[in-house]
Amino acid sequence: MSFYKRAGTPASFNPFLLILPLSILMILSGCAQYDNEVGGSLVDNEVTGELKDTLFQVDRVAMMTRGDLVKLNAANIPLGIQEELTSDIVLRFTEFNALGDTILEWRSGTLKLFGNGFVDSSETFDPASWSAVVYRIDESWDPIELTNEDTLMMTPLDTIEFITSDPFDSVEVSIDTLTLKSWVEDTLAYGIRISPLPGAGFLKNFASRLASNAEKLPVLKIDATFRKGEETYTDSVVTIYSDVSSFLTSDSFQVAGDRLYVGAGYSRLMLFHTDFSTLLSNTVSLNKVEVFVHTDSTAVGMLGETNIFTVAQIRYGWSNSDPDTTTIGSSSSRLFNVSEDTSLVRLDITPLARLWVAEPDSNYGVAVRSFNEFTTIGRRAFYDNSADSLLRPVFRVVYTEFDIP
Amino acid sequence: MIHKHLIILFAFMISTSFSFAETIFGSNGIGFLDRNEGIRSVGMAGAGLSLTDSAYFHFANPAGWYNVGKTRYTISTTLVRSYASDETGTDDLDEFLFPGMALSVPIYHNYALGLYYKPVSDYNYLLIGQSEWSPKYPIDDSDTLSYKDRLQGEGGLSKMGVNLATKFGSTSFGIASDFYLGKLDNLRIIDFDDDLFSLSGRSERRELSGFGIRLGLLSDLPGNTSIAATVSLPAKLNVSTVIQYEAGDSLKFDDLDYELPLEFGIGFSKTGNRLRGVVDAGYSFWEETADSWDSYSDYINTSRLSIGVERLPLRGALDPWYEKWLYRAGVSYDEHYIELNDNKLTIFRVAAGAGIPVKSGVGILEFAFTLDFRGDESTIGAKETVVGINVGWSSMEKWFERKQR
Repeated sequence: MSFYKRAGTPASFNPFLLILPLSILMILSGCAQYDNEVGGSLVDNEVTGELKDTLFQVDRVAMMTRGDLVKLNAANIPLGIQEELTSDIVLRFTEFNALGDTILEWRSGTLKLFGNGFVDSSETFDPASWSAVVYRIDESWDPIELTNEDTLMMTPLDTIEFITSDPFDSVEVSIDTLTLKSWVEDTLAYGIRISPLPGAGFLKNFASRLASNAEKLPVLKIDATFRKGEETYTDSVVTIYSDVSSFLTSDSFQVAGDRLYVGAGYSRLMLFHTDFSTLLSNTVSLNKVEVFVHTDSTAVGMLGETNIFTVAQIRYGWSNSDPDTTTIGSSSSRLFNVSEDTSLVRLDITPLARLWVAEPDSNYGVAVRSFNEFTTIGRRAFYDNSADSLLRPVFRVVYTEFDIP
Repeated sequence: MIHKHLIILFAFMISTSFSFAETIFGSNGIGFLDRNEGIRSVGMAGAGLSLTDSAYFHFANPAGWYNVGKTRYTISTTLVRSYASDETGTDDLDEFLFPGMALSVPIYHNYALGLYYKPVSDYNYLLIGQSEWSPKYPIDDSDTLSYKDRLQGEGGLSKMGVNLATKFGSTSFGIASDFYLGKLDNLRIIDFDDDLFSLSGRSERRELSGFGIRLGLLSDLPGNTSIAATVSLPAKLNVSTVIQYEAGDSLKFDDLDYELPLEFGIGFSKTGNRLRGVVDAGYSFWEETADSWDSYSDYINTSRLSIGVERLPLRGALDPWYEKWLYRAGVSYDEHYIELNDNKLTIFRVAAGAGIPVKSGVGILEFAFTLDFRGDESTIGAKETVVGINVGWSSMEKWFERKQR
């Protein structure tokens, strides 16, 4: 239907010509409104409400330990002991196709690791030598779940000494032919764990399988005679690259009494819960809910700090004694930093708390995690419920309480 | 042709949602009552219960609909400018409204059917105040936080109805069934100036529905005189309330029912050679309904009086165009049904209007100008002056035509 009269046709009224301006006028009229306070004294039907704020003490708190998944992606793998932290290295080699179909003679095997600096180069390291034991792992293990505390069936292969503080020197470990045979012929390639012996004075980084410099990747060089197809390779040195190169830290961090940790790379989360049932959903509308946590600045981690945090909903019940079984939801998009002039971190959980007020059964608490949990290595200590009252974690709630209808 | 008119009607039906006029006195009860009973009546400040001219619509008197020879419809629009003032200052407002519409159809002998939509009350207020709040547990030495406190009300009551009228001898009778529909929204929002705080708020929506009966009588007396009487029986309004908290619960329950009052109206008109005088009076027993309303108990009975005069047209073919127009004017006194600040709110109206017959028999184009004075600052604490310009169209169509008898 055209808005215009076609030439030669009789004029007729088109109702759409009327509807268009009416629509415009309707839109304009919908915007009309008194916008000052005139007549305010006449309003009798107002919804009355009062702004309030309160503190909720944390009634349940725990630290959740997740697997060391992130360490599989680390560019550096530290080895050594520094202060309270011990770090082992684990390596696994499983791709032996380069050795052909049949090994005719084993000659030697050498594991080579390339130094890549120190975890904390600002420290003055004890130049005294220290040692680490190289173990052959004799059982299968899950690189995602394995932690420093886990014990494995292992056989010592060698002891290596660190006699210099050169950050970029390399380490060579001789692998015996029995071990090589079990890995290649018996397909029992469970890998190697290198553990520092007591007395180690610093943490040294080695390039991992993800290092940017391909010449510094951890490698296993095998000198052998083998047959590949119809051809025999005599006294050939084959380079095998690792498919797992990671590290296991003790993560004990016992610096100043009980603390909670948030770890990046270590994947440690803090879990908090409080009871919001006194905030009734039929009278209360939340303005802001924050979790206040204080960092313990005296507890400085050797593998770096994490200073940016985020929060996530806890989806299932948990207890103080067994927090690792619960499930954590996806993280909030908001990030929270440690205050520059105080140790306080304010974690805004308003959307989550609103859900708890509307659906109290969904309140399993909130998890605090590092924003860099999957990309960097670091940790941060926080005071827990046993700390001084000013340093304990607490929920601060600002809300509007309306009259009961 | 019919479908085009139906499109127009449909467009206006949609637009009726914009039929509520804002007023500073619309913040109580079900709002400010709309006493505009058809544009002809508006031009005489509300008088017209006893008019019987077939070209007009009688929203106020069910008996006035009997005089229908052809199907007719009426639509109108109003441009309003309001000025309000109280101790806080002054404010003004422009609005464009569609106050109502109606369709009347001859059905059988002296019987006529009417269908209509009309706003009954306008409910609205908007207060945005800037306030400060001192938290009990201040953070970062922020002893006070500023926020906007928004109080808003919106809605009103409308009615759709079916009217049946007939005439026996010199007296006509009518009965109207009014179906009431409406909503009253009240909203309170706390909006902190600090963007890191979320809005809190509660909205209350009362959905109203009900049914009412009105009866009317209109009688032609000797000497070009006519009288009219109307009664509106008390109408029960069922109220369903939904309360929604910002990001919280939604509660629904049935409120105490509201009630519209018993109302009486009488009218008198005397027609001379070129002039017609019209007087209407009415009384509403609002106090009898007070117990049915929740917290608003200061309802008062109200009375109203309208006096109008109409100059009738000449119908000679050679008469000048301006003598073929109808001219009218009137004054009225009305009262609001709720005491405001312990005083009665009175409304004075001065009105003038004109009716312009278009193409004899097709319809009448109507204009009306109104000037309302509501309240005063010395007693009520606020006053409002409202200027209204009304344009309407009363059409006569041949879709259904009563046979000549």
